[in-house]
Amino acid sequence: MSAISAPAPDAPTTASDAPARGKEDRPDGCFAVLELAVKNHPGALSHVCGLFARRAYNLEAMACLPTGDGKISRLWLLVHEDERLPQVIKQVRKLEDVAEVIDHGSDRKIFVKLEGVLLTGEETEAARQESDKLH
Amino acid sequence: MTAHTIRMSGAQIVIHLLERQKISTIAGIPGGANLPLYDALSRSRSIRHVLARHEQGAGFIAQGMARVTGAPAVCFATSGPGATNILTAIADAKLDSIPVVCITGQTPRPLIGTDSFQEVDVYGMSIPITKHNFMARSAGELLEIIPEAFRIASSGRPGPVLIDIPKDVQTEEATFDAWPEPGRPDAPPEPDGSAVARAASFINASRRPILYIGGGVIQAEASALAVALAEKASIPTAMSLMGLGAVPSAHPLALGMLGMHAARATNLALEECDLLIAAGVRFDDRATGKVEAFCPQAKIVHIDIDPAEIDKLKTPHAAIVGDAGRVFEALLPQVERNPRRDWLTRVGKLQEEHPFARNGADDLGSPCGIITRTAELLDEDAVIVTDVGQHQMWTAQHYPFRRPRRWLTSGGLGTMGFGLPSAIGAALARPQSQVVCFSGDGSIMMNIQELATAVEQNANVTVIVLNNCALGLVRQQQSLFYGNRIYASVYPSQVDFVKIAEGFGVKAYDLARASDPSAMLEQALKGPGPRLIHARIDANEQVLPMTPPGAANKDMIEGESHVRHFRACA
Repeated sequence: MSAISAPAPDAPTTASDAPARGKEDRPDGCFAVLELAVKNHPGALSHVCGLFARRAYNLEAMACLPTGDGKISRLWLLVHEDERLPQVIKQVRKLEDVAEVIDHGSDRKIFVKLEGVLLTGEETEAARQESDKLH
Repeated sequence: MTAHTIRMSGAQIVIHLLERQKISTIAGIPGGANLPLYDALSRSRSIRHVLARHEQGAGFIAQGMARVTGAPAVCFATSGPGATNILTAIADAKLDSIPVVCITGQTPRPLIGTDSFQEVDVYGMSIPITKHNFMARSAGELLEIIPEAFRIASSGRPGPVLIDIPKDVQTEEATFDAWPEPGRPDAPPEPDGSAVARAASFINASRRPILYIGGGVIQAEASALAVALAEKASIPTAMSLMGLGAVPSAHPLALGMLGMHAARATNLALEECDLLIAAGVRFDDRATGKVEAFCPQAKIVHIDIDPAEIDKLKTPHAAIVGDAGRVFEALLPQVERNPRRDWLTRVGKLQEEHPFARNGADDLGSPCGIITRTAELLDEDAVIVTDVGQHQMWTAQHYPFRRPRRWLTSGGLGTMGFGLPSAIGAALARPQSQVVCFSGDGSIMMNIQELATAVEQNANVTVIVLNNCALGLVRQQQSLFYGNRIYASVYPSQVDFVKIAEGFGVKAYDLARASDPSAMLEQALKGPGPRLIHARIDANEQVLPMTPPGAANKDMIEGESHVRHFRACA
């Protein structure tokens, strides 16, 4: 559950994605970042990913880290913002393994940092220390 | 610590926790990977095991028990094929929100992931068809998992929970100091006062309201309150397939079922309504027809315990998340008494102009006649179960439902084979009630092996097979929408259902060979024990009226009264 994954930098967005719908409170309009608190066990990610897959909703990027004593992980998802998102968020909230869902809207700080690491190969000191702790 | 330590195997823990949940009956089939569970079950004094003949049957027996009682029911299957066999019944429970706890055996932990004998990833396979699922990784975990499974299955919008337990977890011993409390449903959310007030103001301001109620009202035991609301504000009430029985069909405000096979007048009234009060429903396409064209003039009040149902298919003008009964209680004092004479007159006029065709109501050679006569012979405590197909829709159309939890049908998944095992489950949970299962010659063959279970349990179940030697609803669609190209929907061979039933030890009756079919039906419906009644029907009989799939409900194909009668088989 502590894997970090993101699409290859030049990965095209899939054709099946519904057109993004702009929202007044989301000037960026195109992407949304969801942050989930998830029980840390071998099936939890299947529950979350399966839910998005069943609704043909692509996960553009995800990052997951255990927190505290390791019983709960935090999972960040980068998804296209479209009119189905509110319903998907409601369905995610229904998952028993998901304790909390925070909708960060278009604030994608965490993925911007990750992209930096992947694209330039440069690691910040903080990220390196964090990574050492995990391994 | 003063409490003395308890030491038990995982299997014993499971059985003891099920006893603490007051489970009295478990349906299932043993196999290699759940033998420790069965060994522990064999020593239980309070739980009776019902040995099914196919795991899908076991799953539906549990569903039958859960549907008539409202409480979670339990089924067992072994790993691999046992587990895959039971999944259809679990998926069916998911779509109809039925609380079932399914416990499967799994290969021992060291073998998981090695393609070992009878290993399938039932945890992974059951994610999309359960409300939640667990894989027990130690015997000690079961102390949390089992009560949690019952809490989840019965809380909020109910649903099935699957627990996969590796064989070596069943045999592993755990020590602990005290038993956990049995799992109980969470308290439902308190209805939001301002949303209730808003909904009440819509109801008070509306001139042509309709109440649309479904399985959520049955689940909430809120039928009496739904009737009270309808009566106080004179609101005609339509029911989804899952909601039938909530308001007695003979009630002057009852409009019966809405949707694809509704009375035309019911769908036309919905077309004209200015307010739709939808309670415990999910706007299923079989109910709404083309959803954009559903109740085009109406404001919508949506009441549901599942927040994800709100705004899923129709955007409501007022939404109340909560238990239907508690919401009705909150609404009732705020809703004004209103005779609504104009609207009730208008609805009455629609019913007069478009009377519901009951072709053959007096003819025991026709489906309508058999269903009508059966209803006359049964009291209102009788449980009516169906399989899936034409007979199911005819029963939904013609049976005079009188009480909630006496109508069991596979609504969401539409599973042929649901009927017989669910009827057995209903009979086990309500031995005092008569249970009648309407089936077809297609559906009954999908779980006919459970006749053996019915005999062993001496289940008070009467199966009425309406035999048209065809997959009738498929044949009907081919005839209506595929240029009458009937293909793969008619059975060329003749099955002797009377002989088959007798072979199982079931008393059987053939209406086609009776000199007095009515007397035979009457005699056949007198228990005890399982019986099968075989009735030949015309393969050209159709379920009408009908909204073509994808069309708007106002564009129903009319119920014709001039169906030609010729026997397609024999």
